[in-house]
Parts: sequence; structure tokens; C-alpha cells
Amino acid sequence: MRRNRPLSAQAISVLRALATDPSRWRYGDDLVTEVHLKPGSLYPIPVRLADRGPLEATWEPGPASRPPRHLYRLSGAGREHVAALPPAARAARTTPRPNLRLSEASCR
Amino acid sequence: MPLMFIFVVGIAVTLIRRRLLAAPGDRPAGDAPARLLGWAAGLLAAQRQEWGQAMIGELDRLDGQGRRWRFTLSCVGAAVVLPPWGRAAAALGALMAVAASAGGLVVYTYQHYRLSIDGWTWVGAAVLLTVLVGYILGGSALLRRPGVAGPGLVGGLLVAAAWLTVGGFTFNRWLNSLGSHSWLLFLVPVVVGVGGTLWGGSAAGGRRAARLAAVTAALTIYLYGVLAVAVRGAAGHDPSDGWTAARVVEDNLSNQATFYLMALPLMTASIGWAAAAATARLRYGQPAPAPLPAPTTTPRATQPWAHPSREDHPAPARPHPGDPSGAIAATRRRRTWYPLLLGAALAATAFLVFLSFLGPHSR
Repeated sequence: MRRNRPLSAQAISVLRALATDPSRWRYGDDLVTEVHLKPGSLYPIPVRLADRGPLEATWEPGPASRPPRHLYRLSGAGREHVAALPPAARAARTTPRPNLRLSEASCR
Repeated sequence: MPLMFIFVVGIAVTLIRRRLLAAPGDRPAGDAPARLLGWAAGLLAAQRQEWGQAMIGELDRLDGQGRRWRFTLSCVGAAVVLPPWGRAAAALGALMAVAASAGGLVVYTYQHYRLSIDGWTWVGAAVLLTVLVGYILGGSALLRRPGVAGPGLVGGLLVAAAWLTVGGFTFNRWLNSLGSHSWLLFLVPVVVGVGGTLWGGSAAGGRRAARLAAVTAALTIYLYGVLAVAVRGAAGHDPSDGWTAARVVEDNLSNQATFYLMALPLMTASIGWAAAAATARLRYGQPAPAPLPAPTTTPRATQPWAHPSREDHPAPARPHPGDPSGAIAATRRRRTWYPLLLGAALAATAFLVFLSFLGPHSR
């Protein structure tokens, strides 16, 4: 990871949602549904997590002239990060809260 | 009333211009949410482009207008509200500080001069707040565009300097409209439009620089004008009218908003826009069709699904597949009408601005 600052509760929510099936690639829309964040709040999170290391990201080419879709899944570092979360803290910090402000949702 | 007419003319010209200059095939693909999200993705800093492309890709797979609109509005809100990066963030901070200072000075003036407050005061405050926030958001969007911040901000300072020169610099001369050299108000926006076009290499760059200059100058000069009212109070009014001091202060405050938050930016943006278009035509000739890159798996803002602003791709005269000669003739007719309409609108605007605002400076 490039930075050692702690992840926000929403970023951990994303990691935890991905950890339910770590090997499966997910679309951003899947994460919006699972984490219950607004799209505008969610999309910076996996992109930044991919930059920091816990996530792997790839592009799924679209059909002709259609835009590609971004896919995400946990990296090895991300699995270790989720596994290392204290159970109590994990439960408390990963409870999704709907309608969060953007500043709350970003990776701190 | 003349100012209202100016605004109506400006809006009408903008709408008709889009109709006249855009051939049917020039409309970007996709529905309104896709176009709106593409525009918003273009506002994102280079470091956030991947985020914008991810949202565009996701929207493409969503069904249902309601769901697509909800998704788009959420993403657009985030893209617009997120501050830009680097020097643009500093410039945005400066604009916000100027706007906040002006708003604070208005509140101070109301309290200091014990001006009466009624329902219309709150309506005016709401309008003022809306205009100031709108300028900040508009300035934020312009500051994110490459090659706009430099000429736009410098141009804004030049325009502000021109209005200060015409206004007479001192608070007393400002409120008494004792300035001169009104021609500067026309010349400097032309310089901004030309300089922005040459700096950015396109008419779109010049137009954006002129818009940013208009926003910057409007906020700066409005702050100066409100400061003049706060310091001088009931100056600059003929005492034979029998107005109370409070009424004169109120009138001075509303004049600052009307002239410098409305007339100044409209005039600057309109003249700069025309200068940018003329410069691009003379310097670069007829705009060439912008080729769209072939789709790849690597996202880039210039790919077709990013739907960059129409200004980035000037409308070429594309023949219609079904009736090429008829479509070309129709496009030519539209483009013949456009300069005539623009010339008439600019003449009317300049004349009304002269009547409503520049006239008192000749006293």
C-alpha cells in the first residue's frame, strides 16, 4: 500500500462485501447494491482501494462502441487486511450507513 | 428592464446557436443521462479519470430512465462538488473567499446602516446566494478544463482592472459614476477572447477563458462595489430625490449586484465569445471534423462514450446519408442565419448596456 492511513468505514464495507466471495470479480453496480452507498459516493472508493493495493481492478471490454466496465475483486493484500480486522471493530466499522456524504465515504 | 431583455437575448442566442450550428449527426450518442454523465466525467481531474470512466461504463448497462437518472445525478453531484486538484484548487479557493467576503459585507452593511428587512429582502438574499453559488460551481467546472485557468484568471483580473479604471478607482468616484474610458469595457473582453483562443489553440478554449474571466471579474468587482457601499454608505445619489439614507444604501447595494453580477459577466462572456470565434476562424480556418478514436479496452476521456463537451468537437458539415445535397444546403442555410442573428443580438446587447449602464459614466 502506498499510504498507511486507516481506511474509512465505507472503504472497509467495500472490502468486506468483496470478501464474501474473494475470487469473484464484481461490477461497481454490485457494490452499490451490497454496500448501500449512493453511486457518486461509492465509485471513488474501489478506484482508490485499487491504487492502494487491497483491490485488483480490470476493465471488461464492452461490445462494439460500448464503454468498458470496471471490475473489482480482493487482492492478496486485501484478504489479509480483512482477515486482520478485529472482530469487534470489523462488525462496528463495517455496518453500512445509507445516504452518507461524499466526504464520509472517501478513503481517509 | 433593459437588463432583463439582455438576458433573454443572451439565452435565446445560446439556444438558437446550438440548433443552427449542430447538424443532426453531430449530436453525441446516448440519452440525456449518458450525455450529462459524460460532461461531468470531463470535469474530473486527470487523477480521477478512471473513476469517471467506471461510472460511464456502469451507466451504459443500467436499464430504466428513473434508475439511470438517479445514478447520473448522484455521480454528477459528486463530480461537480469534488474540488479540483493543484493550482485549480487554489484558484477555486480564492473565488470562494471573494464570494464569501462579498456576501459577508452585504450582511455587515445591512446591520451597520440598520436597513429594513422584509420578505423581499429574503427573496433578494436567496437570489444573491444562488448567483454566487452558481458562479462558484461554474468557475469550478471551468477551472478543471485544461488550458483555461491561466488565461481565464489573468483575463478576469484584466477585466476587473478595466472596470475599476472606468469606475474611477476610489470609492467616491465609484459610487458617483465619475469614471471614463468606457471603451476599455469592450476592448479587454476582446483581448481575453483572442488570448484564450491563441493560448488554448481553439475557439472552445477562448470561450471558456472568456467565461472564467467573466466569473472572476464579476466576483472581484462585486466585492469592490459592496466594499465601497459599506464604507461610503449613502453616497452617489441626487439628494433632491428626497430618499432616506437607508434607501440610498439599499439602492447602491442592489446596483452593485445588478451591474457587476449580471451585466458585467454577460457583457464579458458575450464579447469574449465572439472574439474567440472570430480569432479561431481567422487563425485556424474552418474547423476540421474531429475524428473519434477507435474503441479500445483502455479508457480515455477522448473516447466516444466519454461524450466530451460539444465545444471540443466543432460541428463539421456532414452530408446526410439519405439526401446529401439537401442536408448540406440546409446546413449552409443555418450557418448563414447564425452570423446575422448573432450580429443583431450583440448590437442590441451593446446598445442596451450602453443605455442602461454606460450612460451615467459620461456625466
